[in-house]
Amino acid sequence: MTEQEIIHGLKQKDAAAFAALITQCQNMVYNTALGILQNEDDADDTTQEVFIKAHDSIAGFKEQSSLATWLYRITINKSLDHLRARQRKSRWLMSTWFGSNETAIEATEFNHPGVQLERKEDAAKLFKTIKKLPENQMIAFVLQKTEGLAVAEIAKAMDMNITAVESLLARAKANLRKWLKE
Amino acid sequence: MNTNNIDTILSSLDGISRAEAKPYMHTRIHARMSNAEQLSVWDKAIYFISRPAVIAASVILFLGLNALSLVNIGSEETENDEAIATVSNNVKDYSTINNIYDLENTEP
Repeated sequence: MTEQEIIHGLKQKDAAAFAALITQCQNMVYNTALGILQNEDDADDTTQEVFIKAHDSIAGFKEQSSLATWLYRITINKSLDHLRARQRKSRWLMSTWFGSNETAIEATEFNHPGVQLERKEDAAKLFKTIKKLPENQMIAFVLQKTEGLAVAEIAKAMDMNITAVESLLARAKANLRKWLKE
Repeated sequence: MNTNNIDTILSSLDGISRAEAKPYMHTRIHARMSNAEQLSVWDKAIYFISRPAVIAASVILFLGLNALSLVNIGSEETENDEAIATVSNNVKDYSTINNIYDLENTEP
């Protein structure tokens, strides 16, 4: 099924079109959510939410961008919602039980299943440091590294201009370098 | 940590392959959508009421109405006080013109 057929089918509430969308895009959505959330269960939950949102709001899709870009935007928003909810919960727990305003640093290290075996240890260190980045820098960096998107594609997904994304990526790398040195 | 190590860590995600979603995604999404549709009106109402924004708005509204009613009661009490003061002043005025009559003594 082509992209146009999927979009047309989704607007007609065609179940086959929805199934085709899931089959074609589930790994893209899941991998993006996994890179941002660094937790397989949360990424799985977010992936389901993304497709339900796409199903419910396809009428509002004006086809000014590609279906993939639109799905990336939904995935980024849903993942950030999930991440913020998790941070709020963590901050509340820390302030309730330990009287601290800091969020709890997750003890479990994240191993991305797509990383080569000999790089797993380094990748785990990098993912741990990525968590410290401000949201926009983190999203741009994750899209570039885990999804392999070009700067122009990241700009479309984040609804920003290319220069702004280049700046975000440069600052992300500088921050990561600084924190890894510490 | 030396620069080479940092560069190695920073490039550890190069050539990463895409993670695959868990199986039966389509079935699980359908099940989730069916569950959401099967929610009764009461379930939806409870879900709506339990949202933090709704709870916060309700508390603010409740406190606002309480504050408003306290202010109104305060102003009503002031009016009542003024009315009581007026009446008691009038009673004092009447006492100056009241006479006590000795009705049992018939003698002039």
